[in-house]
Amino acid sequence: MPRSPGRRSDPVPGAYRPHVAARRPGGPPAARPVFRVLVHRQYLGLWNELPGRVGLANAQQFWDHVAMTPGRPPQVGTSSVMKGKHAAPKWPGYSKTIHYEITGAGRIDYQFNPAAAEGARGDPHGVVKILTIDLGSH
Amino acid sequence: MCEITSEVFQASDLAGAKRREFLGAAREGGALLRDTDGFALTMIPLAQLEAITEVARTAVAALLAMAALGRESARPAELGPLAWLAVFDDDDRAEFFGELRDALAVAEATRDAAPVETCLREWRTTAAALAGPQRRAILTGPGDDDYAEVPRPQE
Repeated sequence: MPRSPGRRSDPVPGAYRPHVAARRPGGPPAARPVFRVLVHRQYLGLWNELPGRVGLANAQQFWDHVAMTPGRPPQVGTSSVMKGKHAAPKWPGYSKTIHYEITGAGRIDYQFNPAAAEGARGDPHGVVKILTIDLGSH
Repeated sequence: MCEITSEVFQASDLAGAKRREFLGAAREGGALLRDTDGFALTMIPLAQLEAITEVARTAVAALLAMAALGRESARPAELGPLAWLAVFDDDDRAEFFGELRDALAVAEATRDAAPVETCLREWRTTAAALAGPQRRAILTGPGDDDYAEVPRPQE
């Protein structure tokens, strides 16, 4: 019976199978680091207003960024390391203060620690501390 | 001093066969042309002209600001375009001028103002963050433990 050009039969055992996925060398990738996101209590009110002020999508994009990759440039919005002595880490192991310009006119300053051991959880875990939020115009 | 080492073109070259050669030299970094009376003109890429202008303008602003800060109790207005430096203390200003000096040197050498623009933007952004009293108190104060965990924003 002639083979239909659009149909493939199961490969014969041992035959070359070009589209079968190969295992990643060295085993599965390391789990993606996830950071707990903390907000200074003075800014909890503004944090709760964030979706309404800058839009839910922009607020979620910011949260996703700091929860996953707080030390990298964001895919949406802009960030920069703040300058001067006051940008120094406020707790051992934390980064310098990072200034994030959230799309929709918001500015958020934070520090992060990829291996914080503070809090109820004794194991090292990532923590982002949001120091300040500014939703006014510059 | 600007150095253009390519061939010197004549005004008549612009209408002749050398016109493409003149434009090519300009795109490569600079073309020098002598008018009929010997007056020298150059053509360089716009981005390079903008970079040279930005480097010169920023260098002058920095020199004037440094002179003003060297006097007793300089007012922000005396710092000109760098008036936002007023929110920083002497140590931070010294760090800023050091970074700016490096950025100006790189920008002048590469004819690319990006290092200067980045330096100014990051320091200006920091100054704006420190201008508000509530934010300044937290940003300049010691770290405390008054934080609460928040979930991903939802509708």
